[in-house]
Amino acid sequence: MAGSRGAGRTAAPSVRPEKRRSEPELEPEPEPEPSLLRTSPLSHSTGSDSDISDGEESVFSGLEDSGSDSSEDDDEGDEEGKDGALSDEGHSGMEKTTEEQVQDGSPGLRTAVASARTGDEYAEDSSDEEDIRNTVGNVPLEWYADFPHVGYDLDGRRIYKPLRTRDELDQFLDKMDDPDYWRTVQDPMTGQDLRLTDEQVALVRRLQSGQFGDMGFNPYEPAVDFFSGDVMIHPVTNRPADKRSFIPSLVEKEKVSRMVHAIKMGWIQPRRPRDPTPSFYDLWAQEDPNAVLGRHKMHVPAPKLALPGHAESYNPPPEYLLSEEEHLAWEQQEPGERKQSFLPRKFPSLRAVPAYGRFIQERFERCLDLYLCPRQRKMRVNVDPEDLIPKLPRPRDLQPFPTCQALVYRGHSDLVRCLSVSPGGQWLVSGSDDGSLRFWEVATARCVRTVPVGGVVKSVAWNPSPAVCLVAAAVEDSVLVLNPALGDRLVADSTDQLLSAFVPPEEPPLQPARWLEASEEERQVGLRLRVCHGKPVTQVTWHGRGDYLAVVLATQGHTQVLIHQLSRRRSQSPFRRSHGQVQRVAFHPARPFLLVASQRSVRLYHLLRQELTKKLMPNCKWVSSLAVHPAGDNVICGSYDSKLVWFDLDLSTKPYRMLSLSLLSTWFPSPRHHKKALRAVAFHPRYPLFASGSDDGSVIVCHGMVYNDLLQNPLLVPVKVLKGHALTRDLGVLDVVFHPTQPWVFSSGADGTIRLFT
Amino acid sequence: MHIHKLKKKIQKKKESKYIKKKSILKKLCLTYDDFNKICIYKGIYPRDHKQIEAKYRSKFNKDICYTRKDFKNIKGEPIINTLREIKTYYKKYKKRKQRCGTNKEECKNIIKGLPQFKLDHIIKERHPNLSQAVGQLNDALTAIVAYSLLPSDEKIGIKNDSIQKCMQLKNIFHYYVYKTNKITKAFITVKGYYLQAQILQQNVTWLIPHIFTPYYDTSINFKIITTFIEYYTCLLNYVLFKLFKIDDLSYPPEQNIELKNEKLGHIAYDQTYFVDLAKVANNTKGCDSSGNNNENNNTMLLNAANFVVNDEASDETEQNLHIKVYTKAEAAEDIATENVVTQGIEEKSVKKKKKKKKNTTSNEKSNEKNNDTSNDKGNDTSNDKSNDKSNDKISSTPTTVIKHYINEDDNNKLKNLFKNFIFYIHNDMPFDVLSIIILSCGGKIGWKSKYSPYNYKNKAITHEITETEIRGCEENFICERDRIQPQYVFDCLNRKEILYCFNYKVNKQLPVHLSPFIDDENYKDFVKTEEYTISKMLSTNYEQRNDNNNNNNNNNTNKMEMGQTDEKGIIKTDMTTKVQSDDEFDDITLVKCRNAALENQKQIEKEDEKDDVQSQKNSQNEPQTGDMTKTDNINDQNLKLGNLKKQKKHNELQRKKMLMSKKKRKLYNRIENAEKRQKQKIQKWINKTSKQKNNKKKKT
Repeated sequence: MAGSRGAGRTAAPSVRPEKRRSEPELEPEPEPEPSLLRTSPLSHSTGSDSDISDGEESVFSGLEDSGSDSSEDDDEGDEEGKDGALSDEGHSGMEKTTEEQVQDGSPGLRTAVASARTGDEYAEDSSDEEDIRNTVGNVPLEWYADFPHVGYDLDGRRIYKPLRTRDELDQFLDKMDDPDYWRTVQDPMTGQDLRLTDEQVALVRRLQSGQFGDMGFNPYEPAVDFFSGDVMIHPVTNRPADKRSFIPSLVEKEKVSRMVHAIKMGWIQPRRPRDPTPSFYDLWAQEDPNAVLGRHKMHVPAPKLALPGHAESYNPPPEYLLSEEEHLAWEQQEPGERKQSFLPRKFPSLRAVPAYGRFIQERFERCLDLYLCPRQRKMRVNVDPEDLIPKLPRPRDLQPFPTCQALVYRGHSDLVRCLSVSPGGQWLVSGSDDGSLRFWEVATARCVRTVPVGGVVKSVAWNPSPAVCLVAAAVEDSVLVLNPALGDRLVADSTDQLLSAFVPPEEPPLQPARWLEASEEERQVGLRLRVCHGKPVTQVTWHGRGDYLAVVLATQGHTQVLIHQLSRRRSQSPFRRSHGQVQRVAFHPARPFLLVASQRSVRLYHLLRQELTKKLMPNCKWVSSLAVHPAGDNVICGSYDSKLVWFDLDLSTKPYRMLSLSLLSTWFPSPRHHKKALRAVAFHPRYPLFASGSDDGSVIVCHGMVYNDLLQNPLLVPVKVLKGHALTRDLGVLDVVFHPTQPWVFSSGADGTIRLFT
Repeated sequence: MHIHKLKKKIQKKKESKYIKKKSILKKLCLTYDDFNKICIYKGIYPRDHKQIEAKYRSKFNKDICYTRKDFKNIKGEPIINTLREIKTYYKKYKKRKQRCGTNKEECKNIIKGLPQFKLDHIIKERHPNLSQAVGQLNDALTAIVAYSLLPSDEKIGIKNDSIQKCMQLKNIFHYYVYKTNKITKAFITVKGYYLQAQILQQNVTWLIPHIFTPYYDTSINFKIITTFIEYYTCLLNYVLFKLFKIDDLSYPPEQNIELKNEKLGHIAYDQTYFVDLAKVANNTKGCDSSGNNNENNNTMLLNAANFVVNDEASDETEQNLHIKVYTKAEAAEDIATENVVTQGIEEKSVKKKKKKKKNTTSNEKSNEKNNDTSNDKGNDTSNDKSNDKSNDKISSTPTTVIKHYINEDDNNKLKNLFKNFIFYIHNDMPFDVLSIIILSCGGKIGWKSKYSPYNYKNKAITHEITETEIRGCEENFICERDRIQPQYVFDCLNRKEILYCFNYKVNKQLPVHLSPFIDDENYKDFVKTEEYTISKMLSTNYEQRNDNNNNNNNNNTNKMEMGQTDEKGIIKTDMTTKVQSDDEFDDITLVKCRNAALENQKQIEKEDEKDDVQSQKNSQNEPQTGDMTKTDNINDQNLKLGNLKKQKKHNELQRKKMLMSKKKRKLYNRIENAEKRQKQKIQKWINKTSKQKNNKKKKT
């Protein structure tokens, strides 16, 4: 053992020869005393005082654990311990030995060594002195972490740390080379490596496994009772018994008498044995037939469980069996989501039917439902859809109205944006995107004249006055006033005279528009005047008398609407402020009102007083068109979300009736399918009719009777859906106009045709 | 009072219509579990938050709320006190147990004193009328039947005594139901056997599960189920008591221990088996002998007679006596038909027999041993007095205030459905359910046991219920019996007539088993209309098919009848000519189905799209009519005309729709869509059936 350790020792310096330069000289010295081996570097490093530790092999030398010595010590100690146990003071002896064991793990091993040396183990022993070599006392050694030393020895000299703290590599090499590496422990006080002896290792093992440190100690020695179990002749104590142990207790007597009294009085009654068999009686003996069902009227009795249908049968009709996909879908669903809690299956026989797996679960769920679920009476609404449909008079009774297509006016090569009929009803003018105005004879569908205007005609309007023959057309940023010279020659001539009678004033007033006379070439085509604006014109409309002309410009700001006076060639902008984009304007047929339709509202202005009279709210998203009833009390608005709104001006500013004229919307009620926009609306000047043209290519003619009696509300009945126009570029009907005298309606479409329905 | 205080008071009053669960617990010092218990007993359920006014709803946010009326109702409940007492009792018990230590005797004594509560007042409060209580028995019965099959496990809250109670109650109820012939419908499902009985004009439906191995799902709180069971057992006890009283039976009925040990369930309560027990050996001998003697006689008579051969003579005498008694006592029930009279007599005789047993057990024994009628007479005379006495007692005690009208007429047919039949139930069949149904319908049963009134080899047995082929037939008469599958019994009951056994023979492909509950209100309420129509269609369809099969079995004798029954004009001629081939017939039924569906739809929708339907009918007729070529042009024209008309109608509708208000239009569209969906679903279903038909054809 010692030899092997020596080999280890010698191997160690060979690893690091340079560091221990000073050692080799001194190496021979410690050889006779192997225990000194490890202190040697310390002592040498301190310098001269190696003798002390060397020479005194008493206390200090014992500190260094030396395998050979300590084994002897232990043995001796054990022997002594046994002796002690055998002797009378066995108890204390045992203590000592245990003390030794405790100290064994620590450097305090030296006590044992010392005792072995001296023979009297207790003489030197003082458990207080833990480590005599290092006198720093009980301070954390981290405090010395930054110093080269770890403490001071008895003489006050520094105890230096080993010169080089070993790094990981050294440790690893040690681990590999040194077979005793596992039993090497570092002494924190000196920083030295300690090598445990076999005995020490065995001791550690014993302590680890919870045994006594002393091998010789027998924990199962027979116990000696203090009191023997035998009955002796003499008592343990010889005290005579008290008197009270012979006398009945008064307190108890009182208690008993109280109980007796209570029993007498019947206060305490013996517990009756409970009857295990339950007794039942006729609970409904006095039954009140008129008893309220339930406690109060709010009570909702629990609904009964649903009865099984065919699908639940063990032998169901084949239609109820699930296909494979349905089966998979069923299995993927959560049990709570399933429509049926069970899987319909067909069993060949009753014996083959297995137990239903969720049976108890279902009962439990029912129980939970009964006391945890809020209940509610659900009123099932039974509405007959027939009742929802309003009762309307038959359209046959509301005749006349246009019922079928009579004529088609072909000629335009592009979509026909606008239409207008002459006040006499003989001529028709249309403006198209192909840059021309066409004049048609209504009765024959003959194109009487074509006027190229060199731009898209946005709007066209025939002067309503029968005394003049004038047509206003909005082309790009100008309004053209034409004299088509159709019909009565006299009228045409007088119109020309009227226009030429204008004498320009001396100082031309500031005007928002320029009035230009037409050139000679243009006059031949029919053009008389040109009113130029800076902005594109979207709409032009005449006042009922035919002198005033309202124009809508596509601009921002307050100059969207201009009013021109033809006879004096004057223009004015009536508004100082704008209220959104103006869509349409219309003159009131009887009173000096101007209706201006902006995107969300329709405003009614009094032109003479120059004030806002009314503001109508059509409740639709985007007003597209506007028409005023010839009597002047009713207004209709068409909107791009396919609504037609009827206002009764006398009634309120809210719509009197809203008609949803989209044909598609009734078939596809979901909002995904966009509704077709209404492009134009028109009133018939004589008959109680109004029409609307929409993008789905249909013209819907409605009967709109307005009564003179103020108490009677107008009667609105859709009477006919007229179809004829083909859809091009998702556009259908662009304009609708009624014939002034006949119940006929003209419509212009995106397919470049104009159609007459009679 | 200051105005602000007044306002607050009013506010509080308004808010106080509802109350939080937490505050109830706080006010009544109840634990959560106790409160749940009370809710279960009293049938109190929480309220929906939507019912609360939106103003005050935030106060009840995320808490279960009850009405204040419920709270008041709970507040005065004597059960709460008992629950509290129980709580203190447990505390005491705990303390005492610590002190007593090992003295178990004392601990047990304490337990015996545990306060118990009664639920009768709650039952009376929840169900002021008997019929109402009977109407609410569905849940109770199903739960009790399920609970009786659980194994006892006190740890997870399944109480042993509750299970015993449930078992007993289940058997007593089954006994009552078949004894008074109350079963009306039965249905084998994947979940178990549904039985329906009509008691006091209330339909009571319950579910007997297939035998299952019990399992403990951790998500199931058996304590809650046990609490429910406590209430249900109490309710059923009281209801049964009253029902037994109405039918002049004594409650609880006595149970024969030997039969009980045989696990015969409800039959253990049956007095007839009770009495016959000792005679079984005798009886079988007698049967055999009588069977030998009367072989030449009508077997039917024998069947009817041999069951109580020994009692026949005595019964006659008893009947006479009873009629006398009856006139004397002038019982409150109005009994019009003879059947009812006899039934009453039967019941009374049963009662009497019991009394007999009580009074003169020794006599009875001797009586049973000797089959002398004279002895019986003597007994009867002795019993007569006691009977009179009892009757007097009944008449003297104030009878029920309300006479419960017992609807006998409907049941009469069912009661005698299996009157002449004796079924032998094999061991592997569900004995419980089958015996209830058969006995309820007036049949008789035999099974493999020494207590069975009929041996397997008894000649009187007419049917055997089994699903397995029995190989070697030793004797002729056994082979001659009808071996049927159990579905036969169910189908007979649901159809209310005796069906031909041919389709139900062992090893035969069974006809489909259809639910008898389609017409029930309860079913209609829960199922969407289209499904209801489909199932309705289906049932009529299959019934017709069955009829047809039957007719075929009868060598097509009643073709004419069929024609009459199936008159719907269109297919009448086809029916009579093409009945022979099955496939064609299927097609016809299919078409009929469709028509029926459309008719049904029409009824539901109440739409008068007559031409629409007509055109559809035309289109359906096309494949049917063989002379397509001739009527082709006409049909085309018809179609065109129809289309035009349709178009016109559509336009008209559209025109009208334009004037509808937004709200109405939305509603209308919703209804329209729902109808469309219904139609689609029915169409889908029809497609499915036709596909199956085609597949079958291809296979053949």
